[in-house]
Amino acid sequence: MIADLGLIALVLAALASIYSLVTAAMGGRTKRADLIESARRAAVMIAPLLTLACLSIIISNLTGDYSLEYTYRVSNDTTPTLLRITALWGGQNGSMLFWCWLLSWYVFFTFLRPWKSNLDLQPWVNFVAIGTQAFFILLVIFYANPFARLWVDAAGNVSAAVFQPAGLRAYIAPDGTGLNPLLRHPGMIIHPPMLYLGFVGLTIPFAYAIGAMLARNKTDSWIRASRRATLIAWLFLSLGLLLGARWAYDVLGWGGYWGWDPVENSALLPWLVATAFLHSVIIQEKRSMFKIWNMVLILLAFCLMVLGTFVTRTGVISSVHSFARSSLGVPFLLFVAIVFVGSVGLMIDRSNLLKSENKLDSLFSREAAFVLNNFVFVAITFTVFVGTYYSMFSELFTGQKLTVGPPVFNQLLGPQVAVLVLLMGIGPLVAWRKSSPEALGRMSWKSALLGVGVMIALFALGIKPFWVLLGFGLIGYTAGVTFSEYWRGMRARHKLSGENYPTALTRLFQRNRRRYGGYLIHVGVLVMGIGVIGSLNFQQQTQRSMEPGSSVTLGNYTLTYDHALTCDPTSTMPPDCADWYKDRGRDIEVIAGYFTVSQAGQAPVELTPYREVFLNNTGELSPPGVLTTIGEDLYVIFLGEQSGFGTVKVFINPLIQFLWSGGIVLVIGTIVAMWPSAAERREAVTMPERVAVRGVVQ
Amino acid sequence: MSESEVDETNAEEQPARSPLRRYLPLGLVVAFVAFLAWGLFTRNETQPTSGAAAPDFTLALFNDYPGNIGKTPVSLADLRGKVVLINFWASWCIPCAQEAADLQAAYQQYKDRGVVFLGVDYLDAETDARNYLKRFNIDYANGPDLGTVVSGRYHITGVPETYIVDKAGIIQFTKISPVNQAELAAVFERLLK
Repeated sequence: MIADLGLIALVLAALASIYSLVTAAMGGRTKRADLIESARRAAVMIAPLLTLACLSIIISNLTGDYSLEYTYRVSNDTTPTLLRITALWGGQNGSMLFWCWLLSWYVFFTFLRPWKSNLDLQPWVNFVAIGTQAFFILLVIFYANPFARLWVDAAGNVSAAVFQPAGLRAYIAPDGTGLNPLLRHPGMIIHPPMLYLGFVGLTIPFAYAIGAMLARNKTDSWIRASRRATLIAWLFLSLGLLLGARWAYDVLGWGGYWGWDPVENSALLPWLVATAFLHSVIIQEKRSMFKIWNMVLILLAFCLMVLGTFVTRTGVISSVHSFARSSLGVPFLLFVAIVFVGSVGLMIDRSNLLKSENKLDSLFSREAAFVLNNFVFVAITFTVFVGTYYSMFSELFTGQKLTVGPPVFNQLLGPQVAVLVLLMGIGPLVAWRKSSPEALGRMSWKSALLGVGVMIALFALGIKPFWVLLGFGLIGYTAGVTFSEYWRGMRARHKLSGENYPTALTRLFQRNRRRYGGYLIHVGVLVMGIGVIGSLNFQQQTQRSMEPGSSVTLGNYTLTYDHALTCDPTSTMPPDCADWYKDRGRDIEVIAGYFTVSQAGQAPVELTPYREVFLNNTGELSPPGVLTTIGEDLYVIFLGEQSGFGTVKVFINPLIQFLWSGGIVLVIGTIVAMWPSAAERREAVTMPERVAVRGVVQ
Repeated sequence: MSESEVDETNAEEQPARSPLRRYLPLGLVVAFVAFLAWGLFTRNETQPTSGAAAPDFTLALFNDYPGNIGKTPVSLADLRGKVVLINFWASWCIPCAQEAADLQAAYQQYKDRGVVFLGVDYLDAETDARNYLKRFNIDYANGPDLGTVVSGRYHITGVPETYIVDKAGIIQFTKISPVNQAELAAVFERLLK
């Protein structure tokens, strides 16, 4: 009943999106204000309708309506309430609906109020954004419908369909199969929505970019208008990637956080290109250069997002993330073809709109630093892209599937990232148009000294590998430059207006959130860099099979094995097992190892790493026991017990806290950079006039 | 990037680009979409499952690693009549190290009862692989998957992956994560009956 309402809402949303699509196109061609307004209103209706559809799935999950195939697959009687809600995105069909829903809210806020500026763009932005929305809604309705019901034939075969097939009776399953155990962890509940928010958010700048070309708009108003949406999408992409890494570290139990898996790479690729875009648009805004390039970047970011979604959701590239394989292949391929060919074709057709108004004056300028930055970002993107699709390329050309492993990625990308870190330090110091090596030297010799000092100090402490020293040295240099930028700004304000230093710093942020928020993002990246270098190069590990009471020592830690506990819910369990099954489905076997960690001069700590074995044979997790200190993590994985001996794998992951805390700084920096300032709000009002004037001057 | 830079700076001097340069990007994109279409239609999701006939293959074994087979190269068809465990692994694979000791222990337990273990080393360097085998005291048959032919036939999604084939050549057990001695023993007991 509730599900029927949801289905109706979904179909209405599809109709609204098709109506908005057609009306926007007509409005764009005829420039009729009434059509454009009607398209906008229809676009705004989609989010509430899809909200109804999502709610009805959630209610079906909560009430355990097993006549619904989706509820049957992602929920069962022992599923806790929270997981029944999050099961909305725990399966292919629901997650596609959820994807549509998130996109609809971006559309909602983009078109909520009648536009006051960029009126020439509005119908076309509407057209592209709603076109994307319509595609995904239709995909849900026809290929991944979460409202399909279960039916049974006379022989007892159960099948699923939206409408009653001839000769079949309605079927209500006695109980569901339950959510994929891999997706029950809190990290896995929050990580996909963040990533999806980042992915679908790219639709908005993409719609602006294509819209500007369709409207034959020569100005860069599309960049200014879509800047905030781009930053929001970038923020969520970053969060999605960080949370994914954290989830892998906390749950998968292999001691690492990033495995260069095709699905991880598919999320990283649009992030890399979007990051390049966020940098290169600054040149277009300041100097009206690189218009083609910016267009290419934002179209590429969207295309890579669509491509990543395509290859991972259709199983074109196999991956450990293959939670969902389906029949989406052909329609999705069609969408990929339209997006790719349409974007490139339109760019070729409208290339006359995208001429640069200025030239690069000097190779020693801020512009040139940005060019180099973009060059490196694109090189990294290309490397990751080739590595990800290598198995497909090699199969096409040689008939063999060759896969690129993590060591290759690390070796190829390390030097490129190092160049990027160096540019992060040099870029802010060189002036627009023309600068000189002398000026750069004057401004950064202290930071360079800091970098060299860091290298010498680490060498003296016994760190020998050259790349590691160089990495930390670069981080030291760039951190020096970045903090001296803050210091310079603060001191200037202090001298000019007599503000005290804290006030000066606050005002500095208020006056130029974008610049100083951006530097904060740089700081976050540098801090994360410390964590990456540390964990990649200085991880220590050992593996032992131990009898109860025996110990293993790694670093300063002594780990003593106490006992193991095996809880198999299909047989009678020891009383201690009750604690493990408070919030856990009874389709999971738990094998826990109890350990005590002692360190000289500190109280002993208990660690209980365990394994979760999914009894439906879909896999297992090995959540580690972790003892966290500022400098390092002691990371213990319990592999199981045999004849009284417990097998344990122990890691020391040095500096890993820097990765997570750097991520938090990055997120804060992004929020600072995108928060509207008073100055920006004023600019938003006066912008159309300014843009118009520039149009005439051209 | 460098190309578009040239475009930008020379834009005024050469207003019209040659048709080839103009449409080359379009051609590339069309070719890429065709490539994806090929990928979609040739994708073979059929990883062999329990109950299916095990795809045959021939594997040249590492010197010193004949295990209880005693000849190289060995083909799966030659081993009909024996229970065969096929384990895909690599020295760089962290979860593989988790199961290494269990595999060797299970091998010790069953090698004299007509069970053959076959390690298939996936995308690896031989020195690394040999060090790995030494480190875990593995002495069952092992060989490199040259040209990723074997892993291709089994459509493995990663390492480790383990298959157990019964005496008639039918797959009776598959696992896409580390195995342990107890579960292997349970399968062998069933198949050796």
